[in-house]
Amino acid sequence: MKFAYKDKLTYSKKIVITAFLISIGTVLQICENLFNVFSIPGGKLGIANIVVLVDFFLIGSKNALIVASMRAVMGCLLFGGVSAFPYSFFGALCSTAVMIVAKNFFTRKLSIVGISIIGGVIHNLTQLTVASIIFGSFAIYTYMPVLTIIGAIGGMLTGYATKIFCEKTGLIEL
Amino acid sequence: MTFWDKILFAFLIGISAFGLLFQGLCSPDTQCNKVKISIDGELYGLYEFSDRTQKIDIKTRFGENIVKIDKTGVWVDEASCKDKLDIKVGKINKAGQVIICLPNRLMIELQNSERKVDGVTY
Repeated sequence: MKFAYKDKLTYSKKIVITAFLISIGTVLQICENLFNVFSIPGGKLGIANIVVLVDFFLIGSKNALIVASMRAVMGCLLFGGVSAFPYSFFGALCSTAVMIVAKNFFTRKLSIVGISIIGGVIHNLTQLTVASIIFGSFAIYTYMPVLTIIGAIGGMLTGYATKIFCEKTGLIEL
Repeated sequence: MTFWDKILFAFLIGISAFGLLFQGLCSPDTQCNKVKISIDGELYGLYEFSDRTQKIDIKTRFGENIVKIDKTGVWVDEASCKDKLDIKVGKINKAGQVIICLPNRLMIELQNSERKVDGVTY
């Protein structure tokens, strides 16, 4: 994997791209909230994660953290409400942090699909942990196996979507 | 997908399939009849299955839910939250199963009537 665009960007271009990615991510998140495919809290595919993954290739890891957390804040302000905020925010933050670590340490072994799978699973795990703290009960972890399967499959789909997007637009030179 | 991607995916699917299997083996097939309802981590009430349908109105500052219990199971009939996930879960009747409404902070647990818990703190 070689990053084609990363070094050509000026500072102001980076700001504009970050703003675009946050707004696209917010819209994706709202669209995703309209369709509840699975009848489990947190059982979503994680389409909004695509912008974070694209940001890895466009600008860099630190910027991806900003995009992920701002997307969660924006999505909750516009649609989700205050009760959904801690789940969304900490889930996005932790999954992005773990994805950065995975990208830096396992970049030879894992492709973008594998990193996305890790992100999806960690997102669900963080949300369950936040929920168990709020509810004060560990019974919520009974959803863990199902959520891991949903997270892995959703992560694989978003990883492939990102890969196809990056290849078509020439963000990665293979 | 590289080789290690496939390994990771297979590992995650395998471990969660094992978890599902473990849950299936551990929870007894016999119906459990103790229902514990808690709001925001605090105990709201303990109920049991009965022949006539019980209707429990839960009104808290987080929202409103109507829970119904009869002899075949417990389910959420109405909810004031947006996503209605707790209604979509349907009826539960086995020990260890839970219904959760995140916006209203409602949790309905089915507890095994035979096994005693060592200690529960609230």
